[in-house]
Amino acid sequence: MTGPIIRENAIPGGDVALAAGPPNAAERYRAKTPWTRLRLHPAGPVGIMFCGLLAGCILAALLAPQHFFFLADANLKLLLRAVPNFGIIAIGVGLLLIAGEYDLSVGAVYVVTPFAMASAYSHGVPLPLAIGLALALAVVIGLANGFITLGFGIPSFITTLGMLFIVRTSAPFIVGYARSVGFQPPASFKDAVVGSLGPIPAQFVWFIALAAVAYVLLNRHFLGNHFFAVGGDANAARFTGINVFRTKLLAFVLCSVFATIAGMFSVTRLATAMTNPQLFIELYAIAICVIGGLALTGGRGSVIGIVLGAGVLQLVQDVIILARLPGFYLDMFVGLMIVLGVVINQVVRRKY
Amino acid sequence: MVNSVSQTNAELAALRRPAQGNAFWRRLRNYQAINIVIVVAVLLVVCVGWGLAFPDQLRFVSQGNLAVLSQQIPVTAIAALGVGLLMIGGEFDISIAGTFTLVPFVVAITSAKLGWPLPLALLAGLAVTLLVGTTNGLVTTRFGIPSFIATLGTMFFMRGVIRFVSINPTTNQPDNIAFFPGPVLKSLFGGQIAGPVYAQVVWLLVVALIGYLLLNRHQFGNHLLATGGNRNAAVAVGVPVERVKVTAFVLCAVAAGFAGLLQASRINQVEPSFATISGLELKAIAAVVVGGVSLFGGRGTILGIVLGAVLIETIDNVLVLVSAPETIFKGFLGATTIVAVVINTTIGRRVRN
Repeated sequence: MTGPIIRENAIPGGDVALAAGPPNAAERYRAKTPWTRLRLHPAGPVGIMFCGLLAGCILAALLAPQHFFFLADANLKLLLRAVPNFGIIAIGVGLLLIAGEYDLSVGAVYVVTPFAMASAYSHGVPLPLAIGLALALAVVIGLANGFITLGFGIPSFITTLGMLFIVRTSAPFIVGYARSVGFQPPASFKDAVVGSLGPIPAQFVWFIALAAVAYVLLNRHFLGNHFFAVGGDANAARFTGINVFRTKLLAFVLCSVFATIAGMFSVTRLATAMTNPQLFIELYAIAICVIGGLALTGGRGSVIGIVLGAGVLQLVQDVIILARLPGFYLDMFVGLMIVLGVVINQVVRRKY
Repeated sequence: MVNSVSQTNAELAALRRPAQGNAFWRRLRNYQAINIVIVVAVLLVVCVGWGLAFPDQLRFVSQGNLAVLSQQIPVTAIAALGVGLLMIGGEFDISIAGTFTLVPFVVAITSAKLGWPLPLALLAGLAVTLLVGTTNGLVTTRFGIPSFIATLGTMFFMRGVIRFVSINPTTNQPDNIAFFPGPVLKSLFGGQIAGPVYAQVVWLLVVALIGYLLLNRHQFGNHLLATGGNRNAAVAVGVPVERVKVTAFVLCAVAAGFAGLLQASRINQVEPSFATISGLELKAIAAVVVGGVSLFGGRGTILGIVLGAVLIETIDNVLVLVSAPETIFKGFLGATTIVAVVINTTIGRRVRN
């Protein structure tokens, strides 16, 4: 009795569509001009936007070097240091988004797990063990998010919204009521993490390395295929034999781990871990993903889009600071970009 | 086939038909909001009992505390009623903290700085809520975007506007803005009625009554429940789904704006930081899901939502009274939301099966 019903759900109007013959997506792609292909790529619009913005900034800096310090050495270094911060979180959030779920708890994970690391290290725990502790905490939080969301069939954004506040609150219980704790790792560790490689800050190198790992995972490994499949159509994925539960669970864990790594970079650079909440980090991460062309319904997106999205957000912030504009322009820009980005993604998808 | 279906229906009917027990208890047991009624009743008995037994330890029943409760609960409850109606229709609004702050801002600025007469200033506030609600609704329905993302965008945008309006050019920081709309409005929105009972309580009753009439005695409520319960079925029987959802978004924004006005006229100022740090949206969602509204829409009661807000505010109040650290309340909100949603979802599944 259940068999036929499920089949009907899996292939809506199945026979008719099959008789007409499914359009060959690869064929259609090849027929288009390079410009159309660029636009159709998930990262196309954000790539165009990033290049335009960068070109505009460079042009403005060349025309008025006294007023717009974009090309100053310090500013470029600052940019390359700032991009990885949100960028690494956004990669994790993006992987999960491609698998069709949200994680809002990254804002708390970013603060709390590195704090646990710094706290443990200051109490004499060896550094690798302290790092392991933070990562283990991240895995536990990711698993909790996944099990509650997938086990009970709750929208992930509610589970993780709750988890955001739970994790934020639990910090004092885990690590005592300290508001901040110093983190002074050996110089070699500090150099490797936040030093610089020639003129390029080490964080940026790590960011690109992590993005490369995510790229390989997403595009060159069967897991990436599974992420796209469960995000695009969970039922269809189930019928091709993918374990949807396990795939999404893994994505939840990866998301928490990436947020923890981003937090560790920040803590190492500042040499201090603080428990005061970093407001709206999770929302900026989602904004980066939306700007980067990821579909909020899952199943569509690219790592390069996330990287460029992080670049766009940071460029806009930089322009606002350099032009001495009031900070609220960033909020308005982020708000507009979220809505506009989603609308554009949706329209592009409908059209093609 | 037909036989088995009718048999199942007969079995279901037999299950639904309570064989014994008197009618009152039966109806009470089957009432949707019964869980929250029991929980709130127990909580209040414990709090009042504790407060009466050890008045020095927990000043729950002191005049001052009751006055705070009667001024604070309605604000949350009214905002939660809007969010709840919208959630029954199957959508979310994350932007309510923005509306909550922006509306009193607009009223304060148009009446105090621009010198508009009060009714006109209130109309301007209403216009803001209509604009926000329609934008949220149209962006969500027209482009098929998850509402929590669409309203996230408007939330960021409103935060920007609020900081733009409130920025102090000398300090470059947002300033609190005074809110003195005159004695008439002050007593209308926050006058003392008798003892610890303030005008806000009456407003809550009025809004709850309107909500009840809309949801249970008007075609709109039927349409809302249908839209949230099963969108395709609602479309099939001719419910104007998009219009219903946009209306629900507007109602939610109006409720949030009104709650903001009540709050601002109580504390005589508008705080821009409220849009960022209050967590009003989580508070409202927690109150609504604790009150038994299904996160997926199509199920919920007005009484449940109001009692959910009473529960959340009472616990906040008790935590303040026992001087617990401030963050514990937020953690409690998070945990409560998850637990309530899990319970609602499992119950909903059992009802459907």
